[in-house]
Amino acid sequence: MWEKIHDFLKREVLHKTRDIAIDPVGPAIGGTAIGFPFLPVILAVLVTGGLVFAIIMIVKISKKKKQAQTE
Amino acid sequence: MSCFYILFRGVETVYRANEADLATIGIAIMLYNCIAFGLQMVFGSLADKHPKIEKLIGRVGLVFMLIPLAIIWISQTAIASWISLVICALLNAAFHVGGGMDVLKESNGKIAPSGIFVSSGALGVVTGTLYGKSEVGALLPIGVVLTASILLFLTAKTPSKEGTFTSNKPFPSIILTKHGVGIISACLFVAVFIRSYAGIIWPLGFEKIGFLVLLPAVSSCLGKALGGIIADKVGAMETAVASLALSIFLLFLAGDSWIITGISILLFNMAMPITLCGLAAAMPKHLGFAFGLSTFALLLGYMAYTQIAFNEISFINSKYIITILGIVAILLIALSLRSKTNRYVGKNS
Repeated sequence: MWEKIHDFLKREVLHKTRDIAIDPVGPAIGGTAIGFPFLPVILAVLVTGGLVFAIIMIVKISKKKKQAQTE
Repeated sequence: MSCFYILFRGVETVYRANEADLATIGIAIMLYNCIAFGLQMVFGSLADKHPKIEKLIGRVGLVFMLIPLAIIWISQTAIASWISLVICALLNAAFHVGGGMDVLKESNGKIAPSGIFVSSGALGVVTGTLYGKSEVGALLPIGVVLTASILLFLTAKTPSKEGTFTSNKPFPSIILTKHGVGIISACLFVAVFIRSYAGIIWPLGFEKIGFLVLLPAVSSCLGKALGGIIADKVGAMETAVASLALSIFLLFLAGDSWIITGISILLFNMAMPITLCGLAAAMPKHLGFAFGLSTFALLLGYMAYTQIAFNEISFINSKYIITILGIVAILLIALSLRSKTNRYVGKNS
């Protein structure tokens, strides 16, 4: 698997085949990089953390809006 | 532009100096994206709560960008690249969310200003990347940031608490469905995620040489700007659904034609300011969070790409994947936004 990811990174970084992205998010160079075993875990924690934060905020905003409407 | 200059200058520096392997470079770019696009949601929420932060955050993000630019200009070492990368990512998050909030607040109920604001990013990415890879110094990005800062302080007024923004009817051309904030936000969030992922795997049937290097960025920029302008004229829902549908149709006609590909990318990006303003309309008292939520969705689209990469999807398959995702995005937008015409039908009946 690492070889596959390494190949992917090599193509992206060295040959820069798709290094100019359509989005402001930018160049899509592999995140699940080799030699960094905890990276997928860190990314999963970041994504989950972000989603939990977003859900909590949306629920709060939703409650506030409903409260304002009933008042 | 400055951020991508720093990012690619740093990448070139550490790679050429053999101070980092490819994995480190991959991590550097992932780190930049996580900070710059993930933190906007947090910064936005803080700005919503604290007016002082809201007033300053955009300006700080712009003016202080001179610091990482100066660092990378003076010292071309791996450590300087890392430090400037983190600082510029933080400042990018601050500038985007601050600028985005100001634009939403002072847009007089129009979607077009937000479209124009977000559209410039695509050109910044391409010019910053090209400039960062070249051998020249940081004079151009420093000059651009300096000019923009001076112009900002000379021309921009401090936005009032509410601006021209009215919480009851923030955007006349955006009519939300009767679903709750949760459902509307979730639908628009997934629509942005889809646009981000599909945008990255978009198949190009031609070689990106010469001016064609700029084509995806120029198309994306024009699409976002035009999306807002047209939505103000004909309605947000109509514009988003029609542009996405037409874009998917053209995707299959494109073949190796760069003109049709450019038009299909342009059309696909027209929904961008609509989804942003849709989120803002759903939570009008939390504009910072709404802006940050859309950039978090963009980040997730990028992360999905790092897991399911373009290389693993064939040219033909990517068309089908984009088609399915595009149809899902159309349905999600239709669940969130109502047609302008429906409103009148409803009134008459």
